[in-house]
Amino acid sequence: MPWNNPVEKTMSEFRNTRRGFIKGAIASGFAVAGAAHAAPTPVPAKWDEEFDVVVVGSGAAGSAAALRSVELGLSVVLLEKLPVTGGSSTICNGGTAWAGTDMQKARGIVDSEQLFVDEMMKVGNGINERPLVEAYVANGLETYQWLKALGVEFRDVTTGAGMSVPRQHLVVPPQMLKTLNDKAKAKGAKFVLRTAAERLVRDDKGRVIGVRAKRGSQVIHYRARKGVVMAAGGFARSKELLRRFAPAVENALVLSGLGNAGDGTRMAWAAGADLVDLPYIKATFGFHPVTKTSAFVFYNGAIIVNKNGDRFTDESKPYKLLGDDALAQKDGIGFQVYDSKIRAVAQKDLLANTDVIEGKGELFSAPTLGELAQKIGVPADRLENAVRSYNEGIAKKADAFGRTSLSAGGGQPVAITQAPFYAFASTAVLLSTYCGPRINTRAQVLDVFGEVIAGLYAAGEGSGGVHGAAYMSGSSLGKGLVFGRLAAQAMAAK
Amino acid sequence: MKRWIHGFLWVPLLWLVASAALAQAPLAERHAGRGTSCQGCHSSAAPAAGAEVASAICQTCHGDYLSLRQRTARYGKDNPHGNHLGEVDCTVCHRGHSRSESYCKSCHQDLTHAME
Repeated sequence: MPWNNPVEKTMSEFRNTRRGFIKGAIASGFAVAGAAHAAPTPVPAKWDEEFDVVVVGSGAAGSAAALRSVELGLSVVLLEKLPVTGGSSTICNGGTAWAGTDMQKARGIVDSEQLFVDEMMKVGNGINERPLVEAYVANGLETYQWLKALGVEFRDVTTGAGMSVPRQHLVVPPQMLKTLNDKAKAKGAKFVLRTAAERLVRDDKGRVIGVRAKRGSQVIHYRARKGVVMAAGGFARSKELLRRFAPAVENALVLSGLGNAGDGTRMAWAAGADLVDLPYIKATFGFHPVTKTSAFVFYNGAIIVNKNGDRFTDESKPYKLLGDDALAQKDGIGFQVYDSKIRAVAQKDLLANTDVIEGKGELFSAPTLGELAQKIGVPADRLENAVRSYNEGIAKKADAFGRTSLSAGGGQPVAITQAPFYAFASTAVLLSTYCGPRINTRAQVLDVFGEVIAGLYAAGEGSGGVHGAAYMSGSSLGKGLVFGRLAAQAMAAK
Repeated sequence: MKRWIHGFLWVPLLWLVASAALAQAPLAERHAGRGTSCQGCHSSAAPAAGAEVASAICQTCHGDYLSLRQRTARYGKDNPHGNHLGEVDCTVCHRGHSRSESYCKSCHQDLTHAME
């Protein structure tokens, strides 16, 4: 009977006046909304499948967690929402940051874990958590050696954002992921695709004990006896979450893995996870807007000028901070401008090579700066002035924007003098959201009071606290591998 | 005047016929047309709706990923069988009972992969 419901009775009284009608409409809206209230996901009477470990997501973090789990004798199922595996990891540049490796030593690169930690804290502006950074670095060399022993191929060591010495060890991501996944499957790990984890299941003590997932229209409950590893990436593909947490990049070009709609973020968040580093979501500068490929020639000495032909920043800054500066310029465009001396060096740097850009006709060169300016559509006198001032600044050791190094305090800026001169357009793209559920040094997820949420682990892009205000090249893929491995080790130890 | 009418009639008609001729029948029909029964791909002669075909089945006739990569080498860096997604399940792109589509286009809308 409608009158038995106090809300509806009130509604009917309200409707007697016009103002009451509106109040009634609002009240009835609450009545309807109240019918679907938030409640913990019910524990199923029977689990469809049971494992020691459930991993959500098949990027580097999930793959490392799955393999390490089976290596340690745990049974594993890895759930991937998409019909393909690899997430953001498989399409990224493949840089993994480690310090003190054999590859560095073979090239005469002097590095140390202390320097690595200090530089990561500096890049993160101290907003990142030192214990997490130390855990990443301290477990890094062992993780690198583990990968090598498995057959992951490291091609080269290069420079990158935030590092004063080359520390970015390049893998071919599909080769690395296939190595990890094939080995995991050979040891009994089960991989299921097109299966989307939707909710974490918790017991009455709040411990995470499984996952409710969906494949097509079928609901599947997976039990996780030891723990769930949330490795589902971030939310770069969710306009809604970007608008809420990072409106400045809402309209940036997105190159993240297709599945990164914030599923993992939300599931952990709903379980009480603290979310950290959200205000620092940034786009990465150095990508060509048409080819969507990157070339970081500025770390080899190029300057960056806007559509007016003017420099606007210190080019040795980490490329996420350069992204902020670039997005503030007209059309978000910065041209990387350099000479043939710099080109010769940059072409040998796998991450500064411009063959793809050149192949698509987007690399411009000319015997003079004036002609180059015409080709890229900037005022010739301003470009000539920008280069002249830059060169004078190098000689006087007083750059107009404070540039004293090639990248993060390492390397020496070189004058741009030798024809032919080169330029190509670059913009900032959103690769990932390097933030989210807060973890501790054992990859356990922490709630808003800093307490461990039992049974829940997170690694990779879908975790927060390691990067802080910006990130060092190779540290994202690197930390995904390290903390994925640490999560497995923590679960096996319990 | 007649020329206009003919133009508006025959040109679109020819275009429609040409499109129909060029459009590919689904893979299942093309396999059946070459003597492969349902059982050739599925494990039963009367597969249930939604039945999936494992890539290993396709590869028994069509070769492994390495040979497929060579077969589509003409695409260069845009090779559908040699790219940063690794070894994607065959049926993600090549669908038995519906229109086949290159998954690469999910991000690279400018690619033209002719689906076989």
